[in-house]
Amino acid sequence: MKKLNTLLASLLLSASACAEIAVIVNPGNSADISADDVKKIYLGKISSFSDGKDALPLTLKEGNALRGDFNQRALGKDDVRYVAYWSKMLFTGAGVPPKEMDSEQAIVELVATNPNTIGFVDSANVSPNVKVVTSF
Amino acid sequence: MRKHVTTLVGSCLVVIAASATADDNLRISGFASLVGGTTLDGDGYWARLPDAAGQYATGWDFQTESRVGLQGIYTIDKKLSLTGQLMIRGVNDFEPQMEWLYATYRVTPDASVTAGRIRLPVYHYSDYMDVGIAYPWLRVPSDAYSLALTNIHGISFNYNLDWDVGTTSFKFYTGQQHTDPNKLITAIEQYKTEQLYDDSGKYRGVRDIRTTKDYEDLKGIVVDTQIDWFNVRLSYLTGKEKFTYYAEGAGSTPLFGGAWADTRFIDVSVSADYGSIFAIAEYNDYDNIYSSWFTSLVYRTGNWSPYVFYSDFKGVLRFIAPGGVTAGFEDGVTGSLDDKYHSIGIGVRYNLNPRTAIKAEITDFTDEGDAAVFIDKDRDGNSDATAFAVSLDIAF
Repeated sequence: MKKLNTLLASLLLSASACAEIAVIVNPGNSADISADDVKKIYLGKISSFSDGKDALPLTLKEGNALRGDFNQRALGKDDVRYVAYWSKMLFTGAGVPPKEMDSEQAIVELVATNPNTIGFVDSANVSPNVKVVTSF
Repeated sequence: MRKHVTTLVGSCLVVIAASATADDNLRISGFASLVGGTTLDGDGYWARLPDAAGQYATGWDFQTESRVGLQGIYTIDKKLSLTGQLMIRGVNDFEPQMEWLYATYRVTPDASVTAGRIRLPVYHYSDYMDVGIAYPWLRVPSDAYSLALTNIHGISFNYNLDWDVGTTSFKFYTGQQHTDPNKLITAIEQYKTEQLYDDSGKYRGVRDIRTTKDYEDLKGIVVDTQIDWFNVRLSYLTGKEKFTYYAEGAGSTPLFGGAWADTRFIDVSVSADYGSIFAIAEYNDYDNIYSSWFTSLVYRTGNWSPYVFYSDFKGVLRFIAPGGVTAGFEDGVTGSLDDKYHSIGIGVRYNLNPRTAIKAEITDFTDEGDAAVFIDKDRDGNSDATAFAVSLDIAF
C-alpha cells in the first residue's frame, strides 16, 4: 500500500511537472498579452493591459503545486523568492500581490465574468468561456 | 498613561485584524523578526540602525533588534487608498509607533501620488530594511546604512515606465522631518566623546547628552531600473539640515550646532539576481560627512543561502567643539577624532517555509579610526568586536 502511495505521489508529481499551464483572460479582453507581459503583471511591474485597462492578476493559495509551477516557469521564482519579492512590494506600498483564489475552478469562473482579470489554470481545465493568451 | 495607550493601540489592532476578513477593502498583513545576539570578542558590538538599535554589550540580548510590523491598506475606491504601518520595536521597549501613514492616489495605472508620513527612500533597502524575510542577511549591512533619518513627512510622485526590455520606476519626493532627540546621532556622540569611567578606570556608561537633527526642504529622486536579472538604482537627495548638541542638564541652550547647512546625499546600487547567485554593491556619499559602501555575495542552494559581505564606513566630517577636543585620543594634526571602520560578515539563511526563515551571522567589526564607535573599556579609541546573532523572520 505504501509503495502504491509513493508510486501515485510520484506520478502526480511528474504529471504536475509536465502539465501545460494556460494563462487565461476574459473573452472580451482584446489586449495583446505576451509571456513577458504576464510576468510583469504578476510581479506588479505593470498594472494594466496594453489597451490601458486595469489588470487584476489571480493566483492560487500558497503551497498549491500548480501555483509553484507557474511562479517558477512564468516568473522565474520559487516560492521563497516569490514571498520575499511580494513582502518587499507589499510592505513598501509598491503594490499588492495577486489575489489568491481557492481553486482553478474559481479562477475560471471569475475570469469568465470579470474583463479585468487574468489567471492561470492547468490547460486541461480551460473552459470555452475564457480565452487562452499564452501558456507555460 | 503610556501603557494604556499601548493597550488601546493593541486592542484596536486586534479589532482591525478581526474585521479584516469581513471587509475586502482592508488588507492587513505583517512581518516580524526576533533577533538575538551576543559579542564573542571585544567590549561590545553595535549594528546602529534604526534608532540606535543593535547594541550588544553583555550576554545575549533578544530585544534590541527584534521587531514586529503591522500594515493595513484600506482601499477607499479604485484610485485612492490609505496605508498605515505600525512598528513595535525592541529598541523602543516595544512601544508601538506609527511608522508610516500615507494616502496614495493613482493618477493612472502607472502613476501615483503619495502624501503623508513616508519612508525616506535613499537606500536600496530603505523601504524594507525592517522586513527580514525579504532579504538574505540577518540585517542589511549596517556600516553602509548610517543616515540618521528614516521617515519624513512629505509627498512623493511615482511613475513606472515599461520600456519592453526592462522597467524603470521614478520617484520624486519632497518633505521634512524634525528629530528630537535623534537617537542614532545621540548614541554615536555618547560613545565617541562621552564615555564615563570611575576612579579605578572602570567603564560606567555614557553621559546623558541629547542631539537633535532637523531636516527641511528635502528634495529627492530615485530611478530604479530592472532588466531581467539586473538592477541598477540611483538616488539623489538635497536639502538643508540643522544639528544641535545639548549637554546634560543644559535644557534648551545648545552646547554647539544649531545652524542650518545645505546637505546632499547620493546612493548608487547595482545588483544581479541570476540563478542561484545574488550579488550586490551599494555606495553612498553624504556631502562633507561620510561615504560608505558594502558588497555581498549570496549563494542559494535549496533552502540554504550562505552569504558573505564586506561593508565600510569613512567619516569625513572633522568636528571640533568650542574649547577643543577633550576625549584624550585626538588626532594630532586636526585635533578632532576620525570615524573609520569596516565589517566582514559571514552568515546563512535557512528557509523553513516561504514565509519563515532562520538566519545566523558572525560579524567581524574592525575600528580603524581614532574615535570609539562603541564601548571602549581601555579608552584607546579602538572598538574592534566580533559578534554573533541569530534571527527568526516571518511574514504573515
